[in-house]
Amino acid sequence: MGEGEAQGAQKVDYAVRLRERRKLAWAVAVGFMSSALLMVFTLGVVTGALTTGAALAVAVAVITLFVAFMLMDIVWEGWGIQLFSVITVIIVMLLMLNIIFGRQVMP
Amino acid sequence: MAHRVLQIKRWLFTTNHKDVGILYLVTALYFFVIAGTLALLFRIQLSVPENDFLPAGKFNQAVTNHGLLMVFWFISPLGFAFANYFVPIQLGAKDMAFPRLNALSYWLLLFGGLLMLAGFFMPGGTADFGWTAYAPLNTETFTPNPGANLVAFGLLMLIASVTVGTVNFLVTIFQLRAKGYKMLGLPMFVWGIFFTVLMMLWAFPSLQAALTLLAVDRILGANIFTAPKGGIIWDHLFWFFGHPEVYIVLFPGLALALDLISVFSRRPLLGRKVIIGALAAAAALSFGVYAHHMFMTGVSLSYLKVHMFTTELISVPFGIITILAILSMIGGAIRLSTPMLFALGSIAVFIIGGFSGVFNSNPVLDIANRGSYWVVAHFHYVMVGAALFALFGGLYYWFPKMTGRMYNETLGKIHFIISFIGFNILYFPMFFLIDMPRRIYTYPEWTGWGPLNFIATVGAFIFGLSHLIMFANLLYSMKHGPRVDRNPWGAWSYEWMVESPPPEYNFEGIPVVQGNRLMVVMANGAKPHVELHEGNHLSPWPLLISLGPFLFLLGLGMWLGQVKFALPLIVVGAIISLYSVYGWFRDDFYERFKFEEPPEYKERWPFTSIHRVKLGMYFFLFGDAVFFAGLVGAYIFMRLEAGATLSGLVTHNILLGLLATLLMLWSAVFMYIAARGAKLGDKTLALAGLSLSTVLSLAYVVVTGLDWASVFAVGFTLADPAIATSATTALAHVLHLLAGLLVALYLTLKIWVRGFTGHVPETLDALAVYWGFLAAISVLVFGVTYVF
Repeated sequence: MGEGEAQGAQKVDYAVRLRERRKLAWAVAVGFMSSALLMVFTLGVVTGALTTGAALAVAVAVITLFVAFMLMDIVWEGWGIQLFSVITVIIVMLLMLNIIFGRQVMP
Repeated sequence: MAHRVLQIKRWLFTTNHKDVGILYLVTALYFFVIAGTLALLFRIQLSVPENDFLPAGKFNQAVTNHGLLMVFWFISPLGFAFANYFVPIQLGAKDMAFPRLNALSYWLLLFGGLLMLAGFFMPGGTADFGWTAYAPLNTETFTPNPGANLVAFGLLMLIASVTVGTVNFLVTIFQLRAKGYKMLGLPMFVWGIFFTVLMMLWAFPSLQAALTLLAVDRILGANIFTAPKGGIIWDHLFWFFGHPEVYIVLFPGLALALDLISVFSRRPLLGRKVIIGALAAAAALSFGVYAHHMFMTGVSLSYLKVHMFTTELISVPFGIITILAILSMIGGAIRLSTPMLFALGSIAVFIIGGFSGVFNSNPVLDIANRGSYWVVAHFHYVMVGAALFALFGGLYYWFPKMTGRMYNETLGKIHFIISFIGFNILYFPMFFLIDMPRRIYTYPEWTGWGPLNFIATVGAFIFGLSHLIMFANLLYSMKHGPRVDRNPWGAWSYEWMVESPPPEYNFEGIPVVQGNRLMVVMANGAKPHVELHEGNHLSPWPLLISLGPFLFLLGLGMWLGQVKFALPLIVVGAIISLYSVYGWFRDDFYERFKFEEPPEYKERWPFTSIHRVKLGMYFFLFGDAVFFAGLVGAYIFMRLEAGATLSGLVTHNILLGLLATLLMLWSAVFMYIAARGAKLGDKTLALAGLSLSTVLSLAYVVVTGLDWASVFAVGFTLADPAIATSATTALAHVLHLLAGLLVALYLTLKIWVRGFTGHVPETLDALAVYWGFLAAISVLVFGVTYVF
């Protein structure tokens, strides 16, 4: 690290450094956890050990939300962002449910 | 001469919110004249039975473009003209949160509209499938007119404009309020715009998904909307956007009418908090009522019952708003000035429009009314009457503030009386034409529809021509009207406390609100930040970055229609696009365009500890989630409904898909690490994270490309709707990633050369959020389109 960079680093508040390092460690952990889950589910389905269905759909949704909330920094933000995230999930679910249940049954 | 050149430069390159507001206003009125002329043409055609003034094709083109222009390029932009001009001042801000993006939003809107109008000049004409563009009528098979492609491109540019504008308004309202200015104290107009942009945020991406799929159908020869029952997915995606769009058009005008009633009754609004709650309830419910547009499509009855209930429910908040608006006037010292007349007219016609809509919430009654002129009357009473009358009231109300001069009050009142009478002569007879189908270009004499249609046409001319009085009045008064002081109406919102017209940065100091009163304070007797702002409101890139895609898409549309000179336009458009993106980045690299209000003087609740760039990114992604939900939802629909039963397990190489997803996931992790490096001031960590993330992203693009090549190599084509929808989703994801890579490369270069200057750490933080979103979408797409 050069002199200038070292000075730049020193300017960062200790609490911020602690928080950023904690976030960094969590991101790496999320990477490993999500990768492992994806590999297990995929290999399970490919080998026939797991069957596709509602349980797998829920698992996919959970991993997606886990990745989104962790890697999009949402868990570390204030309640405003978290509230908007939840509203977005509700609206996405609303669209999906409408598409799934609003299907043509009559001519 | 030099002054004139400077004036031209100002209007082309401006990023000042007031200038942008005036550009919106002029553009909206321009499209109003065109859309109104189209309306008069087809009203002439319908005025008498068996008329041959317009042939069927031209009639359909006129109706389609009238609807699209009025909804997207006139009423909404008119509301946003006022929002651009007045919301920042009403908040106590010096400009929007992102002034260049504000200008970009305008230019995208203008060029989108021009692209749409260009459709008229294509061989075979323009789109003729109605503003709802129902599938499969909108496909190449049933609408071969090449002009329809230009309409779709124009709408996509409009959606880009709306997306940028939405993010900008949300960040502005949340983070640029004057210190001490609480949300509940905001004028109703700001509340109306706030709920409008929230609905836009989550509604327009659904239309974007529908149009993207349509473009794949029309240009790449896919078979999405022509597949069995494929039309239903268009209905879902269109109306998930379309019903909130009614309130998107209505809310700015309705909220403005409430402010006007308060000002001209000299009374505070009764139940102000209840009205805000009612607006919130209506905005939330707007996403859950849309299937009442699909009562005739044969969808499940139990599903329709839910939407019948929610549709009836949504009339409650509007009833509350209307009653409170009327009650607010009781005991007031009412002044029937022109703006107040228009506000009262707006409420009056809204009651008629609202009541007529309640009938349509019942599937049994709706089956009888569907597709008749009853429905035409209903939605014009809501969208034109309620919204437009209030917005014209706003034009008169704010005219003295924008020009410093007063209009002729007598002419204003005459305009209101004639236009109100003309409006009702035009639309009220349509309630009696309940047995006349809409979208027919002529009708036989024995139907008996002739007299009522003739009356409606007379009304159309009275209503249309009445606006000439307004144009003449305002144009004359701009130069010759008597000068007025700051607050001729005795209004209380903060735009009336600055000069007329307001100075460039609105407030010569720092606006602070204390006890509902706005004060402008000076720091140490100086005028803070005025120097910083001088000369920073000009940028050519918003104009050029919109002009490039306009020329490119115009050329592409001409090429699809086999029109000459298409290729040069495509090339020039591509060059301008690339150069303008480079220019925008170059300005940022050297930090030439600085505009930021000091956050310590701003009210930022509830987003107190987040930078505006990151907040803007979050809002963008909240909307983008709906776009991808639309695409993935279309794939699920095709798998469930359209007879495309092949699972991704059969069509894709699962292991390649898994590898691609893991690459994207780790690319996001490294981008996140880079952002942490920037926050820690660690240049090496930031550059390493950025570089690794970029390499993994490119690897993701390559592996995804190889997988799709293997899909097509074994004989699958876009003719299979499941393949077409999943390929569209993958393509959209990759295009998102490539756009992000441009920013990643820029940031790598800037950190390498200049270090963490300007907003680099915040921009990288926002980019990491974007990458996290793309990783999540990658997991979702893999889970749904590969594993199932």
